[in-house]
Amino acid sequence: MGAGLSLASVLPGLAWARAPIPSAAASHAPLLLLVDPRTGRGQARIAVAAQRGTPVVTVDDDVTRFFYERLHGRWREEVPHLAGLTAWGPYFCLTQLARDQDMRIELHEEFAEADGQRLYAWSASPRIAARPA
Amino acid sequence: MTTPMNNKPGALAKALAQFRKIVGDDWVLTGEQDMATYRDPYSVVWDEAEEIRAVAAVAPENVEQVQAIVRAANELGVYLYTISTGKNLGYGGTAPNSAGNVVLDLKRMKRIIEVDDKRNFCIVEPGVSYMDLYRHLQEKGLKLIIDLPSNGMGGVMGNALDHGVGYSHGFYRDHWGSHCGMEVVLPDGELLRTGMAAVPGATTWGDYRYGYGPFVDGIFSQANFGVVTKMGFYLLPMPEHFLTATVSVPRYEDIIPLVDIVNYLEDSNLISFARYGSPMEIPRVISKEPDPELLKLIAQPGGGQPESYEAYARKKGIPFWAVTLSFYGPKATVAANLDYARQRLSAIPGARFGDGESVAFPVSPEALAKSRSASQLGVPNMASFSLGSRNKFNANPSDGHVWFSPVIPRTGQGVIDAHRVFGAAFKEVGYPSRIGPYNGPRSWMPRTFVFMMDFYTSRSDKAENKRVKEAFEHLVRVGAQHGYTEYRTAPLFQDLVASTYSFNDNALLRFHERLKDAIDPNGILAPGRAGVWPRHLRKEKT
Repeated sequence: MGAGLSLASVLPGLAWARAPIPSAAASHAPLLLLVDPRTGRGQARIAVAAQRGTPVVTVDDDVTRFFYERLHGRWREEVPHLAGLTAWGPYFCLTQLARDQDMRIELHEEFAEADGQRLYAWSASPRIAARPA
Repeated sequence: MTTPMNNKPGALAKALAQFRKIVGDDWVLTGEQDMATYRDPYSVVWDEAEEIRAVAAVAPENVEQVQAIVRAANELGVYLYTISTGKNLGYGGTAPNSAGNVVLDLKRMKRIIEVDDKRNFCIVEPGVSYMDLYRHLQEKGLKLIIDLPSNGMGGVMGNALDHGVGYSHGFYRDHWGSHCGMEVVLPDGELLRTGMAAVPGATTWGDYRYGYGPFVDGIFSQANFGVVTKMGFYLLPMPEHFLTATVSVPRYEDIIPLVDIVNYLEDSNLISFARYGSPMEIPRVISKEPDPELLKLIAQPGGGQPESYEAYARKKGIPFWAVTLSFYGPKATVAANLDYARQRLSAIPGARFGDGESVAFPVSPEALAKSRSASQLGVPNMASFSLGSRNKFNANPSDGHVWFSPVIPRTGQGVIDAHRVFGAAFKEVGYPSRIGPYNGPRSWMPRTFVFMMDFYTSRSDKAENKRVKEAFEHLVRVGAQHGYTEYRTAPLFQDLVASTYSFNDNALLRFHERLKDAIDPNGILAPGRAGVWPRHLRKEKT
């Protein structure tokens, strides 16, 4: 993963991407992207992420394994800046789980795909660190 | 109740100031973004005036902070609504059950105090989720299985306190019934323990639940008499093997002998959870195009008549009912029990049998990946949230749901009668039937049938939500006329459901109110939970 990567570069075109990123993100916090690969949009995001060297984890409707392996008990410490382009199930579940781990998930955009699928673009950040100084 | 229940003027601000001194600024939440996480995501009145919203939240770290918060709230007359992990989805989630409450969020109290895999129990705090407990068992190599609800994100204590249920063996599926001893902060801040936990120096908290004298634990479940801060639970020792097998029967009325035999097998401890279903039930995961002919049958007002489904089943060469039986134990024992179950069920003409899963414990990652029974194998998961994902066969998945879950007699005739009563009720209220003759009972709670009906909620379609609410209320009333009512319900329906337990001029509710007046005279804890309002709010409510 390259230094100085911002959430904006991973999910371009979103208004929130122009907001200042907490200093922790710019300096050392890992960035991980969770993507549903089953749609064209998801595949395009994976391709962009690959070009930029952003770690990507693919997920379908069930985020159980990803949560256990990467986030459970360590979300805030190890993956404090997670972004996603996923179906409803992962977005909803991670929103529910974020509160337990004192994280917060913000939904940025919803996309309707040609085959009827919907994808949700969201980002997670620590609740307390996100407060203005 | 939709009228905001205001705390006394200035009381909330004073309370929040006190709470900040107790827990620190970071753990008193009032901002819009923080408070957005304290809404019921499945609310049938989402974004409407009737939606119940918290006024703030406070998250203590330990029982001493809980006591201090409760004392402060009691002195100031500020309402508190307690959540553990807040995953009671379909029953309110993180949102309070009445207006004007500060949510007392116990998520930070996450200690797993004790787990004993020789006496097979655990003692936990409210913020311990099923996933937390599972990871603890895995990391410590403890040979125990947790009985799980579908929602693996939930809290061990929170689920039990709302009478949640699961899918493994016998009484373990009754999560409240598997508890053993508790610690409670009373509305005046006093700390109480029950069972053997009330004996200083006793090491039997997780063994014997009754202690001595009146067994008061029940008043802290689905209730508003105290803040539960620790609970013990019995856990299933890890068995050697897990097995499932199916039995299917051809005719609608075969449900009668089928239930009789399955009841015998379960009540004799020869089988574990029995999942009733029908191949004509449209699964919530719609992954291939449903048969248009079946869809037409299902769309009939009231769900249609059994004869039309029997004709369909005969035409398609499929059974009417199928039950998946499950077994836990040594491999030889479960095989023998399955063999016996098949012998007994063969008495039903046309009964057919099929194999299911056969999984050895401890479960390997490969076996888990292949299994469709992760919850029954004791692995908390979120698979159920992928149900109903939007796809080309399911263009309009819901944003959430509420369940109408009346308790019905545990007989095949009970199922048949429920079809008739609720099918007619849907027709009467003009709402597409959520059930049909193909609906089997839910048997998560041992010795109990719940006849569950899903209603889907929307965050955008208020008109549909209104129809859901009206249909739901109609079904509650019709059900009560036939002696059927809910075992659990969302806060919006709490008063209505409480009113159905009306024996002897609502003697039960009046008794609950007497307890409330004695234990919580200022009425600060979750006013209205399960229909129990404090004295000063009872007149307003009526």
